[in-house]
Amino acid sequence: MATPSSSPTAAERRLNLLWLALVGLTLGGTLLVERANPGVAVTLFICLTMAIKGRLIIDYFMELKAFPGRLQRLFRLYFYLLPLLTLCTWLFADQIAAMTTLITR
Amino acid sequence: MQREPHTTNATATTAAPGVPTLPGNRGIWVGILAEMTEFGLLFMVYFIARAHHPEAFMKGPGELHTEAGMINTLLMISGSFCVAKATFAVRRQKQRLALRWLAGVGVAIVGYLLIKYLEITWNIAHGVVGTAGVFYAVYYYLTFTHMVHIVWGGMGLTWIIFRTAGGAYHENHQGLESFALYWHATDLAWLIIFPLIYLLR
Repeated sequence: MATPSSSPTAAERRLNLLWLALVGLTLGGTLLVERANPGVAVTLFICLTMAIKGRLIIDYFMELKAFPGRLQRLFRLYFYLLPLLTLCTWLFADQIAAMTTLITR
Repeated sequence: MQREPHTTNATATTAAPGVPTLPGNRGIWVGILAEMTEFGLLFMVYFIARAHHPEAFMKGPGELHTEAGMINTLLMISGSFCVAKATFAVRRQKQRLALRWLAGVGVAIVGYLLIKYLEITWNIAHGVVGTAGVFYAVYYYLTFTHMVHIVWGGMGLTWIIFRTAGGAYHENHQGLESFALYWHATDLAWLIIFPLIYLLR
């Protein structure tokens, strides 16, 4: 049986930087969104930060970067789709409302 | 960036020694996929409600306590960081260090629930109640569902702390890894809820 290393691995040390990046994205994103006027650029920024933060958690905290396969693709897809749907709902609200309206006769 | 998948020994799983294995166990992966599906459905409700009532969803976030949402986001992220650190510590046989990181997750959970309590108290004082409009109904539905998952996480954490203190994860780390994955999934859900509810105008 291999003896576990007593000192932190590079992956463990990387967590510190990732935490700082996630905190920075949260603080910076919130400040920017609170001060800027609502618009497509702000919405795009919100969607991008959502996707980046999700990807960091999936790849490094959940360690799925090291395991290519269906599970990795599924989780990554979630964080492509949700930001995309957020943007689409913002841009095409009328069309989505029309598609999701029940027609009563 | 160099990938460093963790390896396991033959005691922990059926994998050969030195072969990288997926963290956690199959049961937790099924569980968190179900959790993501549950939140996925609630997000669909959000998108449809927003498309039908864009004005309510543009005005709504401005009525909420954004700082409360932001602090809870920081607590969720920090909880994820602490549990990831605990996982790495236990793999290095550093049980006491792992316990300290798990205590950090406990602080994040208590902090989250305290902020939620203060936020809801503030909401009620300012007329932000579930019956005030479609945005507020969706806000309470999403955040209460998430809060239930946090409470479950707190119960899971209590169990994991006792098991870690008893030396249960000395060789087989699956239990702690499974809890960590559950917490990360709950964090992922919040990373979508926060911008949708508090930021997007």
